[in-house]
Order: sequence, then C-alpha cells, then structure tokens
Amino acid sequence: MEGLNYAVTDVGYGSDGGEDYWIIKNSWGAQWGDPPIKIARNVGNVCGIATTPSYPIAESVPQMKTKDSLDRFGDDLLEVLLSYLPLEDRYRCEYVSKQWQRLIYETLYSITIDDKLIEKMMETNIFGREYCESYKLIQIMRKCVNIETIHCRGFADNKNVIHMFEAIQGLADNCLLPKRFHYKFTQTDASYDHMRPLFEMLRTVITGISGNISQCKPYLKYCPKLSQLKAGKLSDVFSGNESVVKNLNKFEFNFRGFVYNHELFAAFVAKNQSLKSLV
Amino acid sequence: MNGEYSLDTTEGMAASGDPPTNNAVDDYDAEEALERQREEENKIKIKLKSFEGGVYECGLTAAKMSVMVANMLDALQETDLTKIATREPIPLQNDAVTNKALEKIVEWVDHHWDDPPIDPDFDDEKERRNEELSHWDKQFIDIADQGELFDIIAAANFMDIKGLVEVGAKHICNKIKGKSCTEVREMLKIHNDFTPEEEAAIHKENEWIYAKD
Repeated sequence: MEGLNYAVTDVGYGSDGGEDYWIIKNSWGAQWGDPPIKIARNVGNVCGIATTPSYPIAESVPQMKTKDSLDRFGDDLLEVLLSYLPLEDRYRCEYVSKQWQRLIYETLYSITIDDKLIEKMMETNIFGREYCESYKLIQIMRKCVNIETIHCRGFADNKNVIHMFEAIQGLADNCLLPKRFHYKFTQTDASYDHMRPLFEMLRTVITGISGNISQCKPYLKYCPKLSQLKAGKLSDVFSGNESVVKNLNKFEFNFRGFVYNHELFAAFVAKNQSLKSLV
Repeated sequence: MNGEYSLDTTEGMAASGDPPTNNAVDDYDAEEALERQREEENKIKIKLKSFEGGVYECGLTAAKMSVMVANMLDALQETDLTKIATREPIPLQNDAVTNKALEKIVEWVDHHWDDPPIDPDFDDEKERRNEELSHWDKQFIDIADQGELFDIIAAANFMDIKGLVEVGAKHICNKIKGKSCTEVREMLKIHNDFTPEEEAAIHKENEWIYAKD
C-alpha cells in the first residue's frame, strides 16, 4: 500500500453491537491519542490496517542482515535505489542476488536502440548472425517489462532497421508494446521502404519523429499520437495545401530559406492549436 | 500522458508574444507570498527525537520536507504554529533513525529547505534524475562507514524525504557503475543466493554487455 508511513500497534479486535472494530495503540506518544482507540473494522480498509499489516517473525536462523549490508533494504527502497542505474549496469548486475534480479528492470522505462547497441550484440554472437542478433535484442528487451518509450536513432545499416523491427515485433508478441516511440532519421538512413512495416505496426504509438521526414510524409496522418515533429521545411508536412499533421505540441523546422507562405502557415496553425512550442 | 514533453505555459506565452494575463500576475504574487510564509515558518524550531532518544532541533519548513513529519504535524491540528515548538519532541520510531543518522538528516534538510518541491509529473523530473549531485551533496553523502550511510538512506526513506533518498541512491549507483557483479556484492555486502549454474546462465544471456565498444 502506497503512502503509508503511520505505524500503530494492533492490540486486538472486538465486536460491539454487531460492529466489528480493531483496537489499536498509537506509537507516537501521549499527544497523538493514547489510550488505545477503536477503529471500525468493516468500513473499508482504514489506514491499510487489513492489507498492510506488519508483524514480527521469530527466526530460528541467525540474522544475516547486518547494518552495513544492502540486504537490509526492502524491495520498495531497493527499487528506488536501482532506478538510477544506467541500462548496461542493470544487465551487468542482474545476478547480484535474487532480490536485485526481481527489481533491477522494474524501473527501466525507456531504451535507445541505435547502431551501436545492435553492433555490440553482433560481436558477441558466434552462431548464425542473422538469427542471433534479433534473438538477442528480443531477449534483452523482454526483461524490461515496464518499457514505455523507445528512442531510435537513424541506422546506417539497413539490416539494423530490420533487426530493430524484429525486436519490437518480439516485444509486441509479448504484449509489451511501448506507449511512446521516437524515431530520428539521419542522412544515411535506410530508405523509407525499409521503415514501412515498422511504421505500420507502431503508428498508434509513434509520438515523435525528427530528421529527414519527407519520405514518410504519406504516413504522418496515420499517427494519431504524434506530438513532436522536427522537419526540414514547412512544406514537408503538407500534401498539397493540406497539413498532414494535427494536434502537435512541438514543431521544429529550418528557417533558413524559409519563404513565408501565409496560407500554408495559417492552415498549419489551424490544425495544430495545441502547439506549445515552435522553433 | 502528455506531461512529459509539454512545456511550461508561461514559456509558451512568451514565445507567442502575448502580454501576461492577470492570472499569471496573481500566480506570481501567490508564489511570492508562499515563499515568504515558508521562510517565516522555518524560523520556528521544532524538536525531533531519534530512535536512540537523542533530540535534535530543526526549522519547521525544513522538517516538513519529511512527508511523515508533515503528516504528524497536520494530525495535531494546531493552528498556532509557534505552539508546536514548545511541544514534546516528535518521536521517530524506526531503528534506522539513530542519533548519527538524525543529526545528518537535520543537517541536510536545514541546507535544502528552500529547494523547489519534487513533482514527479513535472517535465523536469527526467532531467533532475539524470543530474549530477551538487558539490555540497557529494560531500555530505560521502560517508566512510557504510552502516551509517545505509542508516541515513533507510531513515530518509522511513521519514519520506524524497530528495535525500535520491541523493543516497545516486551516490550508491555512482559506486556501482562499471563494477562487476562480484565487486558489487563484495562492496555492498550482499548475500548471493544464486547457484553457480544460475549465475552462469544469466551471465550468458547478458553477454553483450561485455563486448568492446
């Protein structure tokens, strides 16, 4: 139960005219209500009394948990501590202990997939490359059960796009499709044809696109959650006189060589009234 | 959730060149007033009692950085805040709140009492998480005795002081970074409950980590 930090000692329970109650003793001292007070028992879960009890356990084995051992921390606190670890250290420390293994990926909410990451995996495999890379990537990503955002930086190698696609497909097969997906195209990027299946699968979660977007223009209007866009020129988001994007809240484009076209601009603003930032 | 990337409305207004509305001015005044009130309240000193019985004095606003203490003070329903100072010390009933730990915690909240509150929904949350510790915090948390360090973190967690838990977490993570599993276990005195076979299996799964950059 979250937000509980008030401890009382439950000294008993009783019944009074059909009403059940807990008898609790407050541990804060006289000014916070001693003698023991009664709390109605059947009125929901007052103060988490029924769901979050703690009780001492008499252990026959000698206590292993010394003061200077991190084992003294419970799951809640350890999870907070581990949430500050970078991605690679989480994978490296997975087998420190079972408690770590259970908690270390819980707070991993975003991951960046780029050439570097995929190449790293390539080096380690000794068997058939094609198969192994995607398999490894899927295995790595499957551990991050709470993944929310995937960032992708442009891939120099078309094959890497396919590997990434397969990895995300693997996630989707495990019902772990992220909520947000940001894709950054680069100059050397794979052609849009390679990206097509990815866009088709992820269109409902794509929230940000940047780089040379002209090649994916026809698809932009099928991305209902797209809220951040970085384009080369304003005309990149226009098909004829119609803006293909709407409800953006951040839009960046290159002002260099920008010819102000009132009609285009007005049409763009009209469709993107939620815009909060224009650069 | 659109909170993550949305921008501060005041910034949006500045960008579009609109004059600030009266609402914005009111908000600003209210903020100013709140700051002054916090400053005044911090002049009131309250007493906190450790698990070992030691009593430490602390500014009221600073003490309220502990959500737990703030809740206890609320429970008193005392409208005259100056009376809180004369009350018996607030007992902190957790064995991690030793004298040494409470002394350090009071030092920390007294230094940080005017920090902006941590709002997990705010856009800057992610940035703040990735920020390095300040020089002051680094010196503060660099404690040789690991038992004492863990006491402070556990006590801060018990007292629900998010900022201080974060300082402790970042400090420990800095120490973990780049170390092997065995080194981490040794350093933090963690009991290994895996069999060598299980360990080897996980190591193999995560082999990619050890590839050269």
